[in-house]
Amino acid sequence: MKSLIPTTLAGKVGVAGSFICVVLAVIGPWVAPYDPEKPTVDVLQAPGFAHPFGTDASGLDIFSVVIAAFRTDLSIALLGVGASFVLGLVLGSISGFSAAGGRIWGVLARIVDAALDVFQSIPVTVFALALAAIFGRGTGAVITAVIFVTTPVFARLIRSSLNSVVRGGLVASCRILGLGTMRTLTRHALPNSVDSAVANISVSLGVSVLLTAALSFLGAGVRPPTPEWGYVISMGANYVATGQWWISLMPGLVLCLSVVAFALTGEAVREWLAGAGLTAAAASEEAALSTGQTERTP
Amino acid sequence: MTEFHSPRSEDLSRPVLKIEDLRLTASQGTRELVKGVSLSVAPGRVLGLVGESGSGKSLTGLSCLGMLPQGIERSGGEVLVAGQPILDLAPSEQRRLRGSVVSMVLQDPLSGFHPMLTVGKQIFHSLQDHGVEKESARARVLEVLGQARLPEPEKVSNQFPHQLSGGMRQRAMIALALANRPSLLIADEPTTALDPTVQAGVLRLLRQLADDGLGVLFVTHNLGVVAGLCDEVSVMEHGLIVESGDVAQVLENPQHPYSIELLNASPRLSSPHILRPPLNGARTNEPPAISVEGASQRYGSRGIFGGGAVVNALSDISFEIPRGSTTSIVGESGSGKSTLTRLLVGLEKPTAGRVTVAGHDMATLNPASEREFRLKVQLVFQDASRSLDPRYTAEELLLEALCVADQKASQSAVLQLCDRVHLPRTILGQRTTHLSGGQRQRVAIARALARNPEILVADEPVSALDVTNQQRIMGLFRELVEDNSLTLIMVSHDLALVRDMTDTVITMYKGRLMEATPAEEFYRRPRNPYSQALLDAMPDPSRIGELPTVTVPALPGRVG
Repeated sequence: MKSLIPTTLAGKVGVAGSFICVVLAVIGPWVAPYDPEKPTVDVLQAPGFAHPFGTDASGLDIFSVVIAAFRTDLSIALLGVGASFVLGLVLGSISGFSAAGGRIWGVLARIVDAALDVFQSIPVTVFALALAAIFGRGTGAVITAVIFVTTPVFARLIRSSLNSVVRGGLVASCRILGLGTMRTLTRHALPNSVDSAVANISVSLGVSVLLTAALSFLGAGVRPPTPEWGYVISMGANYVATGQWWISLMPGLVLCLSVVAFALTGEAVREWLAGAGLTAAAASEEAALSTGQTERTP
Repeated sequence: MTEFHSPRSEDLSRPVLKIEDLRLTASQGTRELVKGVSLSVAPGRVLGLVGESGSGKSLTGLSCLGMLPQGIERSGGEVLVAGQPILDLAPSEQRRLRGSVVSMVLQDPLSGFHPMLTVGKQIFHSLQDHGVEKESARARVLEVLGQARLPEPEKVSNQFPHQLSGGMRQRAMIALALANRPSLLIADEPTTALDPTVQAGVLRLLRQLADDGLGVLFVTHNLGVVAGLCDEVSVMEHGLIVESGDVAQVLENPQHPYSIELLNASPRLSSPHILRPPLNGARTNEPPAISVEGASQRYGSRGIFGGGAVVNALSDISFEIPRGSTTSIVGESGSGKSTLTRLLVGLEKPTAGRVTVAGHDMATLNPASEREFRLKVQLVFQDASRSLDPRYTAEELLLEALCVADQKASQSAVLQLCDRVHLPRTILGQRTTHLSGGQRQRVAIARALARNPEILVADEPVSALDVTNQQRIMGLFRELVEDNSLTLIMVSHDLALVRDMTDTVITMYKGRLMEATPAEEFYRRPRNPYSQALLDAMPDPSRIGELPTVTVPALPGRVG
């Protein structure tokens, strides 16, 4: 079995960062020095010994809020991306496996393709604002928005890998053998097609965190006083001009670092899956070797 | 014809390539892959380097260009190209030698060409890299394409690699390799992926180039090709040269046991093999296993706008195959034999005509009857690495195949199946990606045999394997035919390979059936001129110094 520790420095940093995020999401509210929902007597304090990230206009300790917000943001991300992955798996299978299925399957695939196109063409912020307007702001609306954004990506990744598996001969050989369509799909075609989608999970977590914050910033996200980065950033925005930069900057930095960590983890996962040698991708290094012209490749 | 290669100042007797005691090791010196190889190639001579896959012959070839793959290091010895130790030179010096002194042609020319530049442009670039003036480079592009015997050099020069046929592409590759007038050409299996008739043309071209003074190191596993093309031959086994000498001497009187084994494994057309008696075991009084009546298959757009290009992959094919017989379908790529296979196993439905296999009309195959049909008819794919799921172990794959017929298939059934195709039981726990090509193909065959099918269709079952493995797999097929009532249909482009186990030969050309003749008659004197051309083009280790001819007749009329 291949070692789970990433080989590249970027991969190591990313996995370590993601791990810290997850740990903080679990223990965050307990290790926070102050109650993230109860103001202290210190108002608009600059970062210092008592308040590492400073405090805001109402006296909330920013450090405690930021630490506690890991749980809010990450649980939204995990729920949303988890649901998207499953949904993407189903939709991607319908769309990508139609060539091996029957006529009804083909019709379903066309509907799914069209639906994905429509979904991807609606701007997500507008969609989320509309959701918040109709159903009221809250965690449910945010999760729905996350699912809305990330599902088409999973579906399309599954679809394109499935397509190449179907063309590759594996599916034909299953059919010749007399295996049923569903067994071929679930036991052979899908397991050989999920790699890129699995690697995309981590990237989507980052996307989700960013979206959650953006929606809070716009006032369509989770309901305060639930600790959330985007909300703190939007509150702090009013104070940047008057010199209280830390209110927005500190949560912004943490948000940024966690998104980067998730993105790097995604890359590390992709590399790990590719190196695990399960997909029969033969290295064609000889391809580059040719006559005297190898060096000139525009 | 202009001179291809202007011999440099050195005299002709001095070798252009001299390898002395070359040793290559992998993974930090733990495993020796090439264990002291010495050989030399003189100008105007062709040296064949023969061996199975994994013998180190390709590595030896690559080292002549100073292009060892990553992780492989030289642990000893010297490679002198035109007197220069190429492996010791700085990368910039190596680059200067590549193309102008030593050049290479690979098995797959597509991988050597840049897909988005025209052929002419790429040759032009390679000339410019070696400091040729713009004007003379342009002229040289057309000259060198002409010398590679490409018809209409101007047209080819403006085409992209994917627009050329396989043979044209390989000629273009040779033109590219020769653009800077090298004195040594390393050719690594340059004709293995080509049809016999096309291969014959490329071999002739290489021979002519050598006669003009080019030194060629020809890496191959095909002794038939060596017999026709090469002057000398070195046989390589496990990183060692076990025998070398004149082609005639080695092929007619091999000394080393491995050379003898290789030679025995090489299929040949000319030797007095015992042919199967006609229709041995076939039961002509029963309804035929397969009957094809006027089947056609065309691909193309029939959408609302129509008018798309229509390809007639098969036109009006009719034949019958009696139960228990062995039939070979032969033809070049593009002749429609793969399409025919897909029709026979029900992966496609014919656009016209009737195909009846094992009593099932292919046009009316529905999910219910398909299940029954699949138990009777099985297919072995050309490339087992693509048809077997890399995530499962051999045992799981075999068990899966057994379970289709019988849910309660047991461990002992797997072992039986394993023995039937002569797979060592020890490999059962391994994933197929860890198996050798021959073992993988055995797993694929075992899967096809799991339900005791009546009809087995094998699409080029051994073309991805080397000679010894080819012979072993063919031996297995022979056993299956002999002790079973199996109807075997073998699709192949290698006429020599299927020769002594086939009852009937069906020749295909451009989607048409040329002839369906009993094997004995076919190999003695085929009725169709195209079949004759196919037979003539087959390389044969006993035809020494005799290059196969290339006379493909214009689409002949149907006979038989």
